[in-house]
Amino acid sequence: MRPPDFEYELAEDVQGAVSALAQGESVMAIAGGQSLIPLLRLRIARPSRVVDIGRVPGLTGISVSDESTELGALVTTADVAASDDISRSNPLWTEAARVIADPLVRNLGTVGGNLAHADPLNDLPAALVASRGEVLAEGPNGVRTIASDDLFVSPFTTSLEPGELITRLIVPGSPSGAYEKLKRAAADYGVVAVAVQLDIGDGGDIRSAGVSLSGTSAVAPRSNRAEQTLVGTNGGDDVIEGAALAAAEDADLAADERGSIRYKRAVVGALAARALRRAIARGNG
Amino acid sequence: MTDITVTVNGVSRAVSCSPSTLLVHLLREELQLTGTHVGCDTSHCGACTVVMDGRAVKSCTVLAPQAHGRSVTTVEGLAEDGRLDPLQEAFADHFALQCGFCTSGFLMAAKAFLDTNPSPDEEQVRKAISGNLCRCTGYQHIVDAMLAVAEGTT
Repeated sequence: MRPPDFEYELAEDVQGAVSALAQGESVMAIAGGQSLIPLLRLRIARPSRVVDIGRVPGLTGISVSDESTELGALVTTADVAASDDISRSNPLWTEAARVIADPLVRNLGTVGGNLAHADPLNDLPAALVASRGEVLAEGPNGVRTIASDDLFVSPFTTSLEPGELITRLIVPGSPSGAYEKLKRAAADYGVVAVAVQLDIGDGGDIRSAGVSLSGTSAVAPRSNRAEQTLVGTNGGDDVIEGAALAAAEDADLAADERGSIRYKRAVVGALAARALRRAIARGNG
Repeated sequence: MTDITVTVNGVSRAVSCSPSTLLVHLLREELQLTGTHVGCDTSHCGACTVVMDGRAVKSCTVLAPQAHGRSVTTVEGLAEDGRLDPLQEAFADHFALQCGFCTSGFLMAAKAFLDTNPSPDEEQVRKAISGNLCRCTGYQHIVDAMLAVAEGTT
């Protein structure tokens, strides 16, 4: 179908976007449009007004150090996937970006949009939670920082207030990260995916651990028991198997055309073990 | 209505349209460039792929105002002075189409990819066209055609 009619407003700066978005619940922001436009075409989304934030200056740019990766909200997922700097310091994000939808979608889809859409099948929410990143949000009451654990409320709902806009992502860097996703076709959703980011000391000890899932009933749930299983160990085979089992057991899954609960649980366990092995090998490499 | 100016195949085109117009409909219906196809209704198939500012995108998943001020190349813009692009020649030489419906989308995805990755390996080629569906399942010949262009053996 064709999208329903709506009023269109081009935001010229963050302030303009904030005041336009604060005008009511049926006002929606569009950045790359790769989530919103399919919903418009299916008439699932019926905004009275669409505010185009895709050309707002100051929301682009990738800045990478060993400690953190900072991304403007309008950075495309293709740019994340292609960045050598991110690949070196934050391979979890490289691997997650490279399996988002397909290359055509990645050329327009933005990191801010991927998070703000809060689709439980999206990849960057799990990456954000596993890496304990945060977003800067600007709204009618100024700028605030939202930690990954506080951003996702329920499917398609974030803690962003009306008029609030994600402007920047700040993600702790670690070479010990990995993302594993099972999907049947490029443009389709994945079945499930597992994001892992570890902080590994010089002696091979795991000082902190982040494990989060995509494809569950909640948006990017943190697997607390898997994390606790890992921290303080050297990440041997028994630990990896135990953490993977914990992630699988705790996953809140639903049966659908992509698989039964039992099948998805087995896949979570297998992917978690695979991601953990790769993350640990990278940390000790 | 919104006034939009898009450079299409090198020519600046001014159009007045509803802001809910999709780029693919602007191309096909306002500009009569019907080489860009609509193959699905769900942003899955890639038949509508065009190159916008150097990147391959699904023109069914771009609002016309998002294309304002940008440069768009469609399949009609590949041939120069009546001579096919080497990529088009390679598709013909390698029988890289059966029914042909998906071909313009594949050509544009392949064009944008090879322009920025002139010497890819086969795996990179396969990933580059993973957003495009061919219901005749003719992928192998499309990969062969793209590799032939990359290797200069067309």
